[in-house]
Formats: sequence, structure tokens, C-alpha cells
Amino acid sequence: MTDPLLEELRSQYRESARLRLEEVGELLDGARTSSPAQLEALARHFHAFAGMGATYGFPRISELGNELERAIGPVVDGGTPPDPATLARWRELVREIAAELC
Amino acid sequence: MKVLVVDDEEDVRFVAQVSLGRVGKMTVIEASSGEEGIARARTEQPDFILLDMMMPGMDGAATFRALHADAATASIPVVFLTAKAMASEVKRLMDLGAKGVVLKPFDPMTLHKEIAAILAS
Repeated sequence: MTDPLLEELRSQYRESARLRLEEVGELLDGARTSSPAQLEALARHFHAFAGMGATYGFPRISELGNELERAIGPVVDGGTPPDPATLARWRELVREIAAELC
Repeated sequence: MKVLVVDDEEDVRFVAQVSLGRVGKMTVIEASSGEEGIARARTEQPDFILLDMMMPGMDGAATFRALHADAATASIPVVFLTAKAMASEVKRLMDLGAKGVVLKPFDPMTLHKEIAAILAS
């Protein structure tokens, strides 16, 4: 890929990922009382980070997304909100994603 | 060559436009849901469909089954786009008739070549 094209992709991703992070932050804020649908929405965001981070030139975001996706899977399947320790770990990983975009 | 990209994620559709359209010189049309994808496949008759597995509502598997049940779209090759964690599930779908699988994340510079190799196989 030519550098201008790669930079265009990275710029596009920074913008869309920041919007996604805002939605993730809102979902995490309400995660202790989340409905199954809200947890599934959060899982879709984590899945998107896992799948597309590296495609857009952010491999660490894919790694972090993979960890988040693995972590939320059992929570979604169980249908119960995450415990505080789990939630704290998710927030930490999400902060790392945000840092990768800087 | 005309490709229909079916994915609910704008990030995927955008990178497909760049990778398949600008780099691969294909005509790229889009759908953001399984239902829209089926409708566009009927009207546009693409040369192949790049179909995401994990979509809310009608997912990739259901979309695939609907495409293959419809005489107007049954012969259009379908290449699945999926995360590595779901590769075993896609293998099962390939056994049912999917043309191939592209795993996410992928290299946007070489995606068109990867797909060309799948379609030629």
C-alpha cells in the first residue's frame, strides 16, 4: 500500500474508532445494570475492534479487541451483568485502545 | 468485476471500497444488512458477494441460505468475511457451498488478490 493510502485509512479509522469509543464508554457506564441487548451491543463493538484494528494499521487494537471479545463472551452467554473487577479490566483495555489512536 | 459487500460495519465497507475499488479496480456496491444484501444481489447481479458472518438481525449464515434458496442469486459466489474465532463455523458453511473465506483482520493492499485466488479455485 502506498503511504498516502495507508494514512487515509488510518485517519478514517481514528475518526470512526473515537466515535465507537464514545458509545463503548456509555455502555460501560451502564454495564452494571445492562440488559442482554446492551451487553450484546458492547460485544459487537469489541468484535469490531478485534476485526478491523489491524486491517487499518492498528494491530495492537486488534489484540486488545480480541481480549475484550473473549472476556465478554461468557458474560453475554450468562445473561448477567459483569462484576466490578471484570468491568474494571474492560475499562483498562478500552483505555489502551484509546491510547493507540493518539 | 462487480462485488457486493454486505456488512453492518461502516469500517469494513469503507476499507472494502479502498481495497477492492481503488486498489483492485473492482466496482464495489454495498449493503449494510442481510436483507439489503439479498435485495441488492437480486437487482445488481454482482460477480461475487463478500458477506460478513456476524451481523445483528439476519446474520451471514441466514443471508447465505436465503441467497442460495433464491434462483435469482443462487449462482453468485459468496466469500465469507469473518474473524478467526469463527473460522470453524465458516468451514461448515463452505461445506454447504460458500466459495471461500477471508479472515479479519486482512491486508487491504492484497485483499483483491486473495479474493481473486479464491474465485479462481
